[in-house]
Amino acid sequence: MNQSTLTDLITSSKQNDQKAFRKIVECYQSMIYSLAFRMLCNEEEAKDTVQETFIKVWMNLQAYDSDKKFSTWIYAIATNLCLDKLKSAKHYFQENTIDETILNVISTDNIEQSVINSELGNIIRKLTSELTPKQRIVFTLRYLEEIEIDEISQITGMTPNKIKSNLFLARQTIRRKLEIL
Amino acid sequence: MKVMENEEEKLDTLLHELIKTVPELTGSEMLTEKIMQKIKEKTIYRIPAVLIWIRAVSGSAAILLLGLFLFQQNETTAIASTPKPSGHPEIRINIDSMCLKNLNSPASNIMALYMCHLQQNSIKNKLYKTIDQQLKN
Repeated sequence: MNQSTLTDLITSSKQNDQKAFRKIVECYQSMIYSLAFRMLCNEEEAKDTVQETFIKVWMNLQAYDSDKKFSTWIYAIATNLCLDKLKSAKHYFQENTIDETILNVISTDNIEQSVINSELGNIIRKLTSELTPKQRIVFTLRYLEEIEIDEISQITGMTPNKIKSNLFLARQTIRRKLEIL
Repeated sequence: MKVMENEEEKLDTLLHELIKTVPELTGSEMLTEKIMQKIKEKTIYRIPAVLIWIRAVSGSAAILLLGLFLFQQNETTAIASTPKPSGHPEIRINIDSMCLKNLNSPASNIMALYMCHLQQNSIKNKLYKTIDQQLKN
């Protein structure tokens, strides 16, 4: 989607145009899902986060500063939601049991993709299970989503130095984990 | 050192593979529908921007008016407490504060208050008469 189309859609959405907002949802939901899944390693939680993100976007669209990149703004909302979930006491990384994996796989139309997602979730979960929520967020944004440090700084509100130190610690922890494997 | 390099390589290879494998959203249309349904529900409660502006402006105006009212009240009290200049001091009813102080209950002892007032007036009258006499002389 080009910038002028996006600007038009945002302007229309600000005036309660739900059709325009639907197009924004269709355009960005995969991107947000990918981010949420890589952070939370769970399909259902990732889908819930996508929903919550777009509801927040809709509710706060008036506050969106059009000088900033829309994707950065939407990423910031999704990242904060993921961070809240990672920090919450309820959240813990538990590997899916075989029953759960089978249920997940057979409940979707695209079985092949579901298997890939499930495997991917398990690998990321194993790699990042010892990281703190902040390290996990920064690691995902930089190494899995390949976002530049300046943009991560805008998304998370952390200073570039803080991001770098978190990345260093995250890499160190994961490397140590790889030595054991 | 070699082990560490080996681990770094392993990590880079793994990260490269993880980047390539993008988690795909299954049932995206259903998710879009769910989101739009939730938004329809939320729209009912979304306050229009104009209403937010009206709220902000009327709120500020109310605070300003309250401030003005308090300021005006202060001014009125100040004016009322200053003695008014009068061209006819003899008809000015001035209840002496000394009389009030001497009375424990002014409401119940209104006669005593009135007598005190008369006494004060007679003193003033005498004073005026003396001044008048002096002026005539």
